[in-house]
Amino acid sequence: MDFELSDDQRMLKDSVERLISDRYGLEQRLRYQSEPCGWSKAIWNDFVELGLTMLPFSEEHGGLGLGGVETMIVGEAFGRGLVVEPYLCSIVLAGEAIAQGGGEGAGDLLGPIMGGEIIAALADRAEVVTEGSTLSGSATVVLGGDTAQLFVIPEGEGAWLLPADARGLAVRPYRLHGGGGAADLSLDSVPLEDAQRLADGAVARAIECGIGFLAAEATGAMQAALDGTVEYLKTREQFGKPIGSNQALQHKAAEMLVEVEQARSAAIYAAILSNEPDAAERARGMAAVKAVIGKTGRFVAQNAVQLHGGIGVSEEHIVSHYFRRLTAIGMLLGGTDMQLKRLAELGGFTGPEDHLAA
Amino acid sequence: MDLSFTAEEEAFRKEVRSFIRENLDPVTHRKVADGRIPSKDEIVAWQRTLNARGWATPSWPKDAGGPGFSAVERYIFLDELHQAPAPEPVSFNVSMIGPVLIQFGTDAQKDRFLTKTANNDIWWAQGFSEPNAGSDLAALRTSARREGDHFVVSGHKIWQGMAHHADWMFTLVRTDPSAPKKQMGISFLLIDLRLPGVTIRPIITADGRHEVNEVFLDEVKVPVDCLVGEENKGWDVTKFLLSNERTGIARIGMTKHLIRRIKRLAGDDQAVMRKAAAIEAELKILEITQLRILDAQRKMTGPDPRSSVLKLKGVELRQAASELLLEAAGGQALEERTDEDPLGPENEEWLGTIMPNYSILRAASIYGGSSEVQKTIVAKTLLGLN
Repeated sequence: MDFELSDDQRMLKDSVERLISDRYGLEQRLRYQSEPCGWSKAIWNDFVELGLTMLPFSEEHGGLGLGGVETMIVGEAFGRGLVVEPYLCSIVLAGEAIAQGGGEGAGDLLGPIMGGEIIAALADRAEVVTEGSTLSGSATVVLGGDTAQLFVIPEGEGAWLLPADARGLAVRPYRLHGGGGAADLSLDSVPLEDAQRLADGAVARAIECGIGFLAAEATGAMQAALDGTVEYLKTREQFGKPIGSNQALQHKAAEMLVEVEQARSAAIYAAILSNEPDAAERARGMAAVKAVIGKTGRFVAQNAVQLHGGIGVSEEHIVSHYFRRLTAIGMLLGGTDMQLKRLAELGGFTGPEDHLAA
Repeated sequence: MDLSFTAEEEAFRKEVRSFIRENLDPVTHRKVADGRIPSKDEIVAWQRTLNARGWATPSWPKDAGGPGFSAVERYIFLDELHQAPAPEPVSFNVSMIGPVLIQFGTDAQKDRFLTKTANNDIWWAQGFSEPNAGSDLAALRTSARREGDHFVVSGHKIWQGMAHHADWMFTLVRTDPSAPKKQMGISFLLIDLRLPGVTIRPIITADGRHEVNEVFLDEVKVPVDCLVGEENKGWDVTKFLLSNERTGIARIGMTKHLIRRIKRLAGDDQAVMRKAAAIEAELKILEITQLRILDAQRKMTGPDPRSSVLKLKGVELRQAASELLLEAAGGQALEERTDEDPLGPENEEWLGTIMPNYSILRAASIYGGSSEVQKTIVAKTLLGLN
């Protein structure tokens, strides 16, 4: 048992955090969001140059061969900065699905994704059927789908890789509350003759990676929201004293800290689970992680706003942005209720059997 | 980062589990599994069984007669007891007075008490709270005046858990009423409960049980060799006692046992199973928090305010599980039964303790530092809010 970062991991953490604190203030973020695609190509190139887009992929695919802990480090820093560039959708979700299910051609497919030239997106909420050698159906809220050139469309246990300009594929792009963009897809007899098929299980694995990344991102956002709230409690004065001297507010902040610690544990658990070979164990664990992230995120977001008072609901204050992003994170890749239903179906962690019988 | 236990630690877990399986009296096991309180004899017998194995005092170092467990072994040991479930070593003896005597006791006191404390030849009670000194413990008024080689003690203590089983009580008394701060005039005394002037009176709690007591002290003559630490420095001893031994404070294993019972009762009731999953998800993550804090604590010394995080969340989940167990049992759980009722058939859940235990578990967020006190500690020490 060991919860320390290695020297390399600490170096990665330092460099990502430095990049975010230098280049990702609230005003800078607003500027990036006002660019035509809704995010900054310059920042995206910084991520590429720092190697972040190569990070989770194996060396044989041309990546850095790093794992869950490194992804967590990136996610946490991105959460603090409220990063809007398409890292989750292109690298963590679609990239991971291709790496897991792309077979021998995976390295070639991943090259331009790691290079940042192509943005890929995974349609985790797709309802499609094959008819002969065509694919029809629809997908909603495809993260990053607004700027993606390549789509991973799950069908059955596997998935199809389709270019955004495939015949019969219509893309309706839009921006999301909390940052980033998405698209709804409709597929009308999209021909599959030239489409690559991703192997069974690849999408499920990618979604687990996505949950791990969201857990880290949420932890970063929650910690930042708590830090900002505590700072505000110490400096904002009413009735001639800092509002943080009021026990009602102190206790609320303490409750937030408890939930942030739980979120951090969830992110660490997800990072370590990514190496777990037992699929059932991973599925149970990730359901718990996502459920806890959803619950803690709501609690921390709502109370961060509450303790800030009126300024907390203004567009110009960062806490309102943390609030929206944390709300969105809770709903993405399966909301809390869905995760708990799944955890119950999987039997939870503790069976009814006598402990001593095991 | 790595969550896994070493091969030695895993082997130790198996060893503890087998030991419990082979040595815990089946009736005692059934009682704890049912949520009943075992008798004094049953608890003492189990303590002595553990002691014969060298495990009765998990937090004591080797040179004080303990097993010298690492922090991780201690955690594993308690987790296995909680999950089995088996009675914990008597906390007043093992977690409270034992470490205090090891740290502050004279050689004579150690010789006199430690071995008997480990074997439960002496059962200790805790004499801290008073009717007007709860969370504000230092407001205590029980007085002790020095007369020759005795302290003469008078006062009224309350909430003495299992004092009706006890032989001795470790007690906070005011020895200097004129001290400039109320924390400064307090001493830590060991009182033989058979001395003249001691009266123990039961308090029946909301679970219908007799677990706690009031202790009245009327001019009790306590020999001065029963003073622990220096006179008027009892608050230092108290702070040590209260911050010591927080391993397992989240009681995760006990909550897992409640989850097992919920699942046995719920059958295919999906609404209950969904609520159980909500508790289990948080409990699983709390286990990670527990391990993170354990990992940090073994690299530091002294109290860690993050123990408050474990207590807050641990109690929240244990209370939620006991509430869900009540829901899963339904109206039948309202029938009044007692711990003395005969044991039911082997495979039938005992409903008789569910409502009493739900009721009395409300005290878990009150004793050992109430949840409000814990939040104040978190706000002041971890967030710097004053």
